[in-house]
Amino acid sequence: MATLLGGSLPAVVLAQEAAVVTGSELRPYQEAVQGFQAGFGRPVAQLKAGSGLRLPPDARVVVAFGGKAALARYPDAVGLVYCMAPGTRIGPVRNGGLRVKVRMHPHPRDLLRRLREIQPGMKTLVMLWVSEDYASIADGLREAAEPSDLRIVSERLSGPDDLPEALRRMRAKADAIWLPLDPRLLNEDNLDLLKEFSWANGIPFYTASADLLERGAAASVGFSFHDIGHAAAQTALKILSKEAVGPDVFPDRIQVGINEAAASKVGLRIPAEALKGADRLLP
Amino acid sequence: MQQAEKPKTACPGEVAAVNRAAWLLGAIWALGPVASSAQSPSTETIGFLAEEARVVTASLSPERASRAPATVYVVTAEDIRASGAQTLWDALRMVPGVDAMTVDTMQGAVIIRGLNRAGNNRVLVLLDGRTVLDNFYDTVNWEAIPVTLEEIDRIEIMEGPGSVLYGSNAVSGVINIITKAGAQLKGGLVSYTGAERNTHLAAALYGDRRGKLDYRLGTGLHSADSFADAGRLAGKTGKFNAALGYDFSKESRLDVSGGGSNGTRQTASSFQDSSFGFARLDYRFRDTRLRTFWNTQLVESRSGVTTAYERGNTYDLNIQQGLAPHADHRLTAGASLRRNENSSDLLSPGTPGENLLGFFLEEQWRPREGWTFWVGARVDKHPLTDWLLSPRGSMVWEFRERQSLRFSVGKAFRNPTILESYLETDLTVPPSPGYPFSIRLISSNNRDLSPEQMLFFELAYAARLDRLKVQAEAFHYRLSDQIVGAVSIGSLGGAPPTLPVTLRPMNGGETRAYGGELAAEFAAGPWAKLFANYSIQELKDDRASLLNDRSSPENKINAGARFRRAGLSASCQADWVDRTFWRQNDVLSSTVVMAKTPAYWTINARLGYSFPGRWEGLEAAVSVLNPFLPARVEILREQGGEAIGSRLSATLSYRF
Repeated sequence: MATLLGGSLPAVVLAQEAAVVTGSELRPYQEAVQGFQAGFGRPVAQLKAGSGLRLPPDARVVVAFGGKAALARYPDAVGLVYCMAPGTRIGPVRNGGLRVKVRMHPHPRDLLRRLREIQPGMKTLVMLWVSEDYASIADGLREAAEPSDLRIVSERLSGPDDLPEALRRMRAKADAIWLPLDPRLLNEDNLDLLKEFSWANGIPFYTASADLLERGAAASVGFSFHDIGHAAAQTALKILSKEAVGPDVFPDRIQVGINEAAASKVGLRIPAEALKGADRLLP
Repeated sequence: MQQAEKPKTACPGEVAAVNRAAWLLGAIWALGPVASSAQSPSTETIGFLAEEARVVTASLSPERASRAPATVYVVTAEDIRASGAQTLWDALRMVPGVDAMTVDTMQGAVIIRGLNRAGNNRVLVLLDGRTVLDNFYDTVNWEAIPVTLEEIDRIEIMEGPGSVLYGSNAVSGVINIITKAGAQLKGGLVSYTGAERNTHLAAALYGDRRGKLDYRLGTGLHSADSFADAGRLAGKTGKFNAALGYDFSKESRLDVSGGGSNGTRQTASSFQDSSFGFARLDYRFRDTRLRTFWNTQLVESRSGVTTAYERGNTYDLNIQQGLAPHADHRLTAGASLRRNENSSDLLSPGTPGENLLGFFLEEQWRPREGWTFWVGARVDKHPLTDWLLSPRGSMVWEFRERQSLRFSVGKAFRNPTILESYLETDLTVPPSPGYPFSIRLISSNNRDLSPEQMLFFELAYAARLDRLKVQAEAFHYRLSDQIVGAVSIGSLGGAPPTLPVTLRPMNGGETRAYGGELAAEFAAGPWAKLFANYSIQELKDDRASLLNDRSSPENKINAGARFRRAGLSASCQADWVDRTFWRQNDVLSSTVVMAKTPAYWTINARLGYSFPGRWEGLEAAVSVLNPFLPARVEILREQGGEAIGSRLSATLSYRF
C-alpha cells in the first residue's frame, strides 16, 4: 500500500490506548467501524474476537462491535464500549471495569415522538420481542406513553416461532406494531410474515433499521450503523479523558425512513411534515 | 468531541500524516466491500441479525454457567415440550448425573449421582424456591406438585451439596422448578393429551401483565390406568394454582401465590388419597428478599393390613440480604425459621412440633480477572440434634475466553425425618403362605439419631465454544451416618404363635462414591439442537446392608436431537441406563438376596405441527414412549417398581 501511494507514507502508528474488536466481517459491522474511525479521529488497532485476541498492552478502552466481541473477556481495568450487540447485556458480575452499551434503538421517549409524528392517530402500539434485554425498552415505552392516551402493549415471545400466534392475538388490538432489532425474533421468514400480516390487516409495522423498509415496514426510526460507531468513538474518547459516562449511550442523530408504498398498502396517511422530515424515502 | 490523547510513539507531525494516511486507508478499505457487494441493504441487516442470533443463542447466561459455584444444568420449557414428557420426573431423564426412574405409572423417583432408592430424601425439590418435600418422609410426591408442565419456565438442577444455602435434604443436589410469570404467558393455553391405558392429561392456564400487576392462573388434571394392570386406575390428580405479582417500583416487588392438588394413587396392594396446599408471600426491596410460606398436607393410606393418615403443616420464614461492600466482593447473608406441625396415627402420642433454625453467609470474591472464589457456610439447628455446620468453598478459574475450571468442596446433611424420630406402630400381620404364624411388627423410633452427612469434592470444566457447549465434572463423596432400619427378631411364642419383629432406625455405615459426567450440546441454529451426555458412578458401601452400591447404575448415556422449522417440530431422545441390583427378599430373612434389574432404554419421540392462518395458536402433536421396546422395570417389583411399557399419545393445544 505504501508503494501504491508513492512510497512516502510513514508507517501507520496506531493509537495504543484504544482497540476495536469485531466479531464478524459483515458489512453492517464495517460501516460501524468506519463511523468509529471517523469519530475517533485516528486509527486504532482492529482485532478479531476469538481465542487469539490480544489487546495492545497500553489499551485503556476497547470498543466491541457485535455480541461475540462484546462477550470476549477483557481486563477489568479496561473500559469496554460495546455496540451492535442487540440482545446481549454484559452482566453485573463484570462490574470491576467500566462497561458502556451504545444503544441500537432511540430512547423510548424519542421513539414514541417520532412514531406519533408518522401516525398521529395511533392509540395502541404493540411491541414484540424475545431477548430479555428489551424488557427495559418495553418499560420505557410504557413510561413515555403514560402522559398521553397511547397504550403500549408489550409482548415477550418465547421464540421466533411464536410470532404468528402473537400477531393473531394482536390483530384486534393493534394500531401499529414496533419491532426492535431483536436477533432472536427477526429473520427472513418472520419479516415476510410481518409484511403479509401488516398489509393484509392494515396494521403498519415499524422497525429500527432503514434497511428493513424494503421488507415491508411502513417506517423506520433508529440509528445508522455509521452513527452507532461514531457514538462509540465519542464514548471511548470520554473514557480516555476520564469524563463520566453512563451505562447506556444513545447516538445523537435519529434517522427516520418511510416506505410510501407500504404506508399506502396499510392505508396509513403520513402527514406531509413527517414525509418532509424523513431522512430516507422509499417510493 | 473530546480531544483524544496523542499516541505515545508519534510526534505531532507524524500524527497529522498518520491521520491522513488512515483516512485514505479507511476510504480504500471501505470502498472494497461496496464495490463487490451485490446484496441489498435489507439482506445485509438480516445477515447481521442472524450473526447476532447465533451469538446470543450460543451465549445465553454465559457468565452464570462458567462462574457458578456448583454444577448446574437447566431444563427449559422448550426442552420439556420437545421431550414429549408427561410427568415431571420424565422431563429430567436427559440430565447428566440424574437418575429419573418411573416407580409406577403415577410416581417417579429422581436421584442425583447415585444412592438410588424408590423414596429418595437426599435431593431437595423446590417449586419457585419453596420446598415441596413431604413432611413425613422428606420425599416428593411428583404428581402432587401443583403446577402443570405447561406452566414451567425452567427446571434448574444443581448437582452436589446445597446445604450451604438450603439446609437439610440438599445432600446430593437441589431441583428448583421455576414457573412462568404472567407476563411470559400473555394469554391463555388449553391443552389435552389422550394416550393409551386411559391416560388423560388436561391443562388450562392464563396469565398476563396489566401495568404493574402480573397474574397467572393454572389448573390441570392427570389420570391414567396402570402400565402393569390395564383397567386398574393407577391414579388421578387435580391441581390448581394462582399467582399475583406487583411492582411497586423497579426496586420493589410483592408476590403472592397459592394453590394445591388433590389426588388418589393406587398400586396392586395399596391405596392413597392425598391433598397438598400452599400459600406464599415474597417481597423484594433492592437486595433484600423476604419469603414466607405455608405448606399443608393430608395423606390417607390403606394397604392390606394398615390404614394411616398423615397431616402436616409447615410455616417458613426466610430473609436474605445481598451486600456489595467492594466491587470485587459480593456477600449474601440470610436466616430461616421453619416450624413443622405434624399429626398421624403412625406417630407417638404427643409428638411435638419442630422448630428449625438456620443462618447462612456466602461470599463471592474476585481478586483478579478470571478468578472467582466462593466461600460460604450455614449453621442449622434441629430440635433433636446439635448445631450443624455446612460449609462450601469453590474456586473458578476462567483460563480462556468462556472456558473455566472449577474446584468445589463442601458438606451437606439430611436431618432425621419426623417418622424416623417419632414413628410408633404396633400391628400384627396374620399368617400367610410364607409365614405360618402371625408377625407382630413393632416400628419404633430413635430420638438420638444424628443427621446423615456428606463430604463432597468436585472438579469441573465448562466451555461455550461458539455453538458448542461442553461440561465435564468429576466428583467424589462420602456419605456417613446413614440412617438405616435395624431389624431385631424375637422368639416365636404365645398362642396363637406370634413372632415379634422390631424395626428401629439407626445411624451407621458409610458410602464412598467416585464418578463424573461429560455433556455436549450443539446448537445447529435456532431450528435444531443436538445433545449427548454420559454419566459414570462407582459406589462402595462399607457394609453389605446399605445396598447403595448395587442400586445405582454405573453407566448412563443420553442422546437426542430436536428440530423445529416453520410450524413443524420433531424430536427424539434416548436414555440408556445400566443394570442395577435391588433387595428381593423381605427384611425378616437373615441373608440379603439381590435381584437384577437389567439395563434398559427409554425412548421418547414427538412430532408436532403448529397450524398457520386461521388456525394459528393450534398445535397437534403425537408422541410415543418406548416404541418397539419390551416392558421393563426401573426399580425391582419387590421395591414397588412396576413394569413400564410403551405408550402412544396425541396432544392438542390451543394458545389464545
